[in-house]
Amino acid sequence: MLKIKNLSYFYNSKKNILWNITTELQPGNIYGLLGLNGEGKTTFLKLIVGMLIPKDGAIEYAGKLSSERSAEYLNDVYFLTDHSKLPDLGIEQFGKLYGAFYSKYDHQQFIDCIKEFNIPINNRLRALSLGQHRKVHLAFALACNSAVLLMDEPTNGLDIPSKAIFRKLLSRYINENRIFIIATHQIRDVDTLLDHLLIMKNGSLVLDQNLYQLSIQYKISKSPLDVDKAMYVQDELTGPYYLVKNDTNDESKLDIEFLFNAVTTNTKPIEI
Amino acid sequence: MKPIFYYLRTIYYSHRYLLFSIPLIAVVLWLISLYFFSNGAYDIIFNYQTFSTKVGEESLLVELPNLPFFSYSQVLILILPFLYLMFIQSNFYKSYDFTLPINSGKKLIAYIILGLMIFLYNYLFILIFNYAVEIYFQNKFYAVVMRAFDNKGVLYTSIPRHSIFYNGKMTLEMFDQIKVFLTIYPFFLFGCLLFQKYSLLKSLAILVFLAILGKYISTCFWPGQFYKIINPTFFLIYGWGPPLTASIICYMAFYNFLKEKEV
Repeated sequence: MLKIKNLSYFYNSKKNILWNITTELQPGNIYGLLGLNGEGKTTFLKLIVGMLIPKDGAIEYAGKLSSERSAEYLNDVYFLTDHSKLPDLGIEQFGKLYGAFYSKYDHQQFIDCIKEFNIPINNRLRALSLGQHRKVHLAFALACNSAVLLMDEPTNGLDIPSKAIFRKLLSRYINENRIFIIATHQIRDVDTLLDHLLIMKNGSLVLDQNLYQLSIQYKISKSPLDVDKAMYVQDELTGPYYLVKNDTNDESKLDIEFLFNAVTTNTKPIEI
Repeated sequence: MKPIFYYLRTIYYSHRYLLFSIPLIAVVLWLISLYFFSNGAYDIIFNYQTFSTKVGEESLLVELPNLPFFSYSQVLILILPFLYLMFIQSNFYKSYDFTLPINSGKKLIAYIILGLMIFLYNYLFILIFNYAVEIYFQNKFYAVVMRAFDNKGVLYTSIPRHSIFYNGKMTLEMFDQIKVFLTIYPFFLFGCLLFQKYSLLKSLAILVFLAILGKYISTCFWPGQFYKIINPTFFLIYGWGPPLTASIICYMAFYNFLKEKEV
């Protein structure tokens, strides 16, 4: 379990980027981390991996603190940044050289992912396009088999078929011991994969909820009868949509983008 | 030890050009130095006929043992490794776009090994070039120089140790520079983390400033009485103590910085 306790961070002491975040992330889940630009998603991920050190609070995985940046911690937590700049090596060589650092790295898995993305394995990295670089980096991140995989805009630069391959790979390699956290604005690329939603606003987690639970508790309605009960209204071309309590106790079909808008743009705070 | 080896291996494979560029830069700068600073050795090696006609062969041969070894090689041995290290300095503060599971202590050891390897690789080439000059002088001139002395009636002459005839052996003694290199190296490493841009110049400026400050402070001790001290241990400590202390502090600061620096 990844424990985050009273986490605060600032670049400039006059303005907190993150403020008093406390949460526990459970293995076996894919977390979606959403927030408007500049809300601190990347900072949050960098803090988890230990690239930044908390000004207050702590992040702990398997008894190891992120701030200590121990090799054991970094072996368990891998961060895929929002851009991929890799050294000029052959693809296989890159995997072998850098994979050697990770105790659970599986080279065959790396090769399989590369093949899945249709990248010629014999190429050198400098011969690849930006998107292909991204795919190699994604393949490597998955093959490291770290317990916590943080991904910042993982679908950046991927073409449409590759996004589907990416989803397939994520669902293949998530297991009961691993935690995936995906920070993205391209929510449609990954929404079908997510188990849990984390939404950031003003440096805090305003939503930290399992998607199944959310779909039991809330629903999106188009019925004019729900106007009075609506916690949030969004006008679409086809008319207004309402976020209302789900009285049926059945799983409703929730749209994450809608939910995100409801949480971040609603003038009245929504009690979830 | 494995992560240190892996780390060095990643640096090596990403900068394999250094295998060729180090000897190339070394040979070019060695030749430039030979041309400008060798006190005439360049002319003797490359234009012997013209040169000897101009100054007279007999007197040239008698003067040859006084031609000094390439003392400027010390500069090449000491400074060039820092030039090469500049090419790969980003490794000291940024490992591409991902973190690697390696402790700061092991990283520091890897950097020290890396610095030493670059120092030794460069040193090896300077040594080979200088030995080549020694062999050239020994083979081509030793016998004729001895004959020239005999002809002049100067018997049982030996060639001084600092002569170009022992250019290689004197370079071998310059291996001592490794101590100076290891003393300066942490300033460079620290500068890389602290400044990132123009780190070599900035760390060099700091180093020079500290050296001047140290020199100034040293003049405050026993002013005018220094010549009275004859204890050799004192001079050893006086010469090495302050820079070594500063160096150790710098290694420790670099280690801490490496541990704490935010990326």
